Formats: sequence, C-alpha cells, structure tokens
Amino acid sequence: MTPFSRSDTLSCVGLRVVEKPVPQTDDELIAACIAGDAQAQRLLFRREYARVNATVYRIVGSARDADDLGQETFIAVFRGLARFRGDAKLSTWIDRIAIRVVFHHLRANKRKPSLPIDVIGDIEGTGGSVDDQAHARDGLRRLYEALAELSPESRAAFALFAIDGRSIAEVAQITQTTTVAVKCRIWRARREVMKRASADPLLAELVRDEEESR
Amino acid sequence: MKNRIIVEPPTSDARRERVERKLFEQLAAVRMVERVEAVIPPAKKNRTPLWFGAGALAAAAVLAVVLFSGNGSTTPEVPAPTRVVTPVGGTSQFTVPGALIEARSDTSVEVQHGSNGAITLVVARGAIECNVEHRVNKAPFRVIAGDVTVEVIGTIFTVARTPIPRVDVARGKVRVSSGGNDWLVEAGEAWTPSVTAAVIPKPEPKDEPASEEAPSPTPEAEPLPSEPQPAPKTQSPAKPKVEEPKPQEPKAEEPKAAEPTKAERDLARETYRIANKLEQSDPQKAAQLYRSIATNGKGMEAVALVSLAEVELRLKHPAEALAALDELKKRFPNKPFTEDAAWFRYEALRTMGKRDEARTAAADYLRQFPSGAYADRLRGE
Repeated sequence: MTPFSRSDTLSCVGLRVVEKPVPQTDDELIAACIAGDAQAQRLLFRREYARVNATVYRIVGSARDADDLGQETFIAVFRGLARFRGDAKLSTWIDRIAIRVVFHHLRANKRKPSLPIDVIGDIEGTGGSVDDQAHARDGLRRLYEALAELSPESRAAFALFAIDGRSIAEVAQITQTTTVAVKCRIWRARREVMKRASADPLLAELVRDEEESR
Repeated sequence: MKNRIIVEPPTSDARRERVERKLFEQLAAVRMVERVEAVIPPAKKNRTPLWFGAGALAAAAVLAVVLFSGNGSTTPEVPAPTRVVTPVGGTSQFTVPGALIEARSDTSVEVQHGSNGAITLVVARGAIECNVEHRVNKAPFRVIAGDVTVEVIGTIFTVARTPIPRVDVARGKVRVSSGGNDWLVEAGEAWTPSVTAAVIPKPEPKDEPASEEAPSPTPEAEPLPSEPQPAPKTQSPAKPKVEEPKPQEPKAEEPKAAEPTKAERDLARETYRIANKLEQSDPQKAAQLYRSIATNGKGMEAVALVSLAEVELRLKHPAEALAALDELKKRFPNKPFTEDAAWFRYEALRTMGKRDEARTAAADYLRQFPSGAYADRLRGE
C-alpha cells in the first residue's frame, strides 16, 4: 500500500504542492535570500563560506576568531543583501563585508597582544613529520606576531596579497582603496616583516625565498 | 621575500557545520527580535545575547498587545527614548514622525520625543542624514551633536558628530547653534566649527564651482583637513557674535628649507587616510582632499598626487589626472610610484583620445618597466 503523501493530503482540501525552484543565478539566489528563504540562504552560505573563511583566517591567523568573524560576516551579508546594487560581483561584495568585519575586530582587539594557541592550521607541503609541522607552526606564529604590530589596513593588505594570493587590483577593490594605497600598505608591512625576519631565523625561513637565503 | 606565504585555513566539515548552525540560530533570533520590535520599539537596549532578548521582547509584545487591545488609556503619552546603533560599514534607515532618518556607518543616535511632539535626535557618534517635512507651525525638530544643535525648518541635511561636527544642508534651511552663536545654513551650504589651528588654505579657485553668492573679500578658512572637504558654499552667519579667525594668506611657493614637523606629517597622513576612505563613497571629495595635501600637506604630497591622478581617472577627468601627473613629474622627479604614474599617464592620454601620445606613453612605460605590473596589459593592447 502506498503511504498517503503530503500532496495527496493537500489535494483533498483543494490545495496542491508547488515545488520551490532552486535558484540558478546570483540574482535569483539574492532575491530568494532577501525573501527570507532559509534554503537559499544556506545555499549562499555554503557556496561562499570556504573563500570567506580562508580570507579571514589568513588575516587574523586564528581559527576561533575566523569562525566568529565568518559568522558575523554572513549575518551582515544577509541583513544587507537588500542593499546590494550589483555594482560589483556578489563574491567581491561579500569579501568587502568580511574585510570590514575583520577591520572592526582588529581595531577592537588592538590592545590584546597575545595570539591564541590555535593560530596555525595545517601547513601545506611540510610533509607528515611532526617536527616539520611544529617548525612550520612556529614560523607562522612569528609571522602573525609581526603582523599584529601593523595597522589593520597594512595587515589586511599584506595578508590578502602575500598570503591569500590576491592581486593588487583585487586587494584595492576589496579594501575599497586605490592600488597605490595598497602598494604602500604592503610595502610597509613587508618592511616590518623583513625587519623582524632579519633577527629571527624561523621567520626568515618562512618568508624569505631561496635566493635571499643564500 | 617569497611571492606567496602558504597558510592553509582549517577546512573541516564539522567546523563549517558548527558555524552554519550558529549563524542560522542567530539569524532566526535576529528575525524574531525584528518582528517583535516592529510591534513595540525596545525601550532600552541591553547587551544580553539576542536570543535571550528575543524571549523577553516576545513576552513584552504579548503584554503590550493585551494592554493596547484593552483601552488606550494605558498608552504612555511620550514614548521612551530609543537608540539606533549601526555597525562599522552598516547603515540603518528609520522614521520618526515627519522625518526619514538614515544613520550612517558606526553611528549611535538616540531619538527623544517631547511632550509637545518635538523630536530630538542626539548623535553620540557618527553621522545621520535627515529628510524632514516642512515644519512651520509644528513642534520643533532638533539634532544635537555634542555642543552643536541643529534646528530644522523643513529640509534634507546631514549632521556628523565624528570626526568633528559638521552640518551639510541639501535642501531647505536649518539653524545651527554652537557655543552661544547661531548660524542659518541654507541648501548647498555646509557648517563646521571655526578653525583656529592647522588651517589648510583653499585649493586652487579653478576647482571651486562657480558661485553666484558674493565672494568673501578674503579667502575663507578651510575646515580641518581631517574632515571631508567643504560643500560648494560655506556657512553664512546669521548673527555672528565672534570674529571669524583670519585665514592665512596662501603662499605661492613654500621655502624648501623648513622640514615638516611631526604634527604636520601626522596631519597629512591622517588627511590622506580619510581621502583613501572617501574614494569609493565620494571620489570627488577624495580628489579635493588629495589636491589639498598635494598643495599644502607635509610629507605626503607625492603619493597624494598619484592617488589624485587615479581618482580623477576614475571620475573620467583625464585632463585633471594628467595635470596631477605633470605636477608630480615636475615636483618629485625621483620619487617612487613613477611606475603607477607612467601607467596613469597612458590611461589619461588614451581616455582623452590622444592616441599617438598614448602610444608614446605606453612605449615609455615598457621601456622603463619591462616587467612592470601593467606591462602585460600594455603589450596586449
């Protein structure tokens, strides 16, 4: 015997089930999210989360902070989506929000000097050796200690460019400034990091390329 | 230095699911609070988590519905003050009787209702834009930002509290009171407190839009450079009670011997930072600030000129961009950023339709910076 389905029940009272279409384009997805469609919101979150998480993590260097800031970013995204005008790509707009959230966090936590223990995640290309992993973790910890000394703008510009692998133009677009300003910020950050690296072999190993090391 | 430092973010599904769960719980709580607030505005903000607040507000909503549906006599005559706070990067629109208010990024504003229907907005931080119905014979509408009070006579205007108080009037007329003085500020005018120190004289007159108002006999003092640039017209004192500070005479050429002081350098740096921030929201203001730094700043002139060229290009003003680049070349032939300058020169010439000169600029760029950031793009064009 076939179980009595929900659509059968509804048809008995003169109603029929209308399948909700899955949004195909950004515009459809945005419209559905604005309308409060939780499924569409989850879809958007899952699509964008990995990039936002990676970007935020690479700036702040803490998995716990990255989780909190990622969450804050998406709350701001869903609350502000109605104001998205489509001037930039949706992903760029979300990245801009993430950067604002990160700036706010960095400014608010400027006086907290220490870094959390979970500053380091997995490190690509270090192999399975526990020693190598620990070594690389220490190097990264030193890097984020150096970055903590910088202004939020310089830190974000450097992290987006040198760690997240974005182009200067992309960094300018996301941080909503000029390419010249971005170059200045990266230059300042790089100078600070290299100054520290000159007195710190671990950091030097992480940031200097092979030619410089020779 | 390495081209890229590898830092792999944590990517476990469990972590993503945890963030997702918390996010949607919080979104649901926010929606709940919004629904309840639509019924009754929160009397007082507290810092408890939203989901606890939602429960409390829901209970209050039920109580309010019961009270309102009984008889109207329990309704308080004067609503309690409410506070609107926007996060950094966020804005919020709300209405008060007879006015639509937009609170800008990082703003805190309290709405107070008087017993005679008067509305007072107290700006603790940030800036608000007000679109107010004509208020002749109506209870007053005031905005207070620190010791500055703005009284409205039907208008669209903006009041900023930070970084320094400023009132911009888009339509109509307002009365600004501060330190015992009153000013009437009309459409197109801006008001800021008088500047007594660190005055940056006005940029070149050619940049100012033509004004039909009779010009002041002496140049007006510019606002502090740490604020957005002035509106086309400056405030007209209704009954000036204090003498305006006498502006400094603009000097054509500063002697180069004087080294900038730390304060001057900080001022220039701060102005540059503000101009940077304004580039997206108001590129024209950003351009004016850059021009101001280039003319009067200490220590940031070269970078300001390059940024000015970039902003002018974005504003589709290639001639102005080219002028900035020429000035850069003349004043700072050995400064960095010449690569950007060379690229912007090409862009400006190309936009102006000067194809031969653009081609020469492109060749110059490629000769000087064969592996520069824009070299591949130039070779492709």
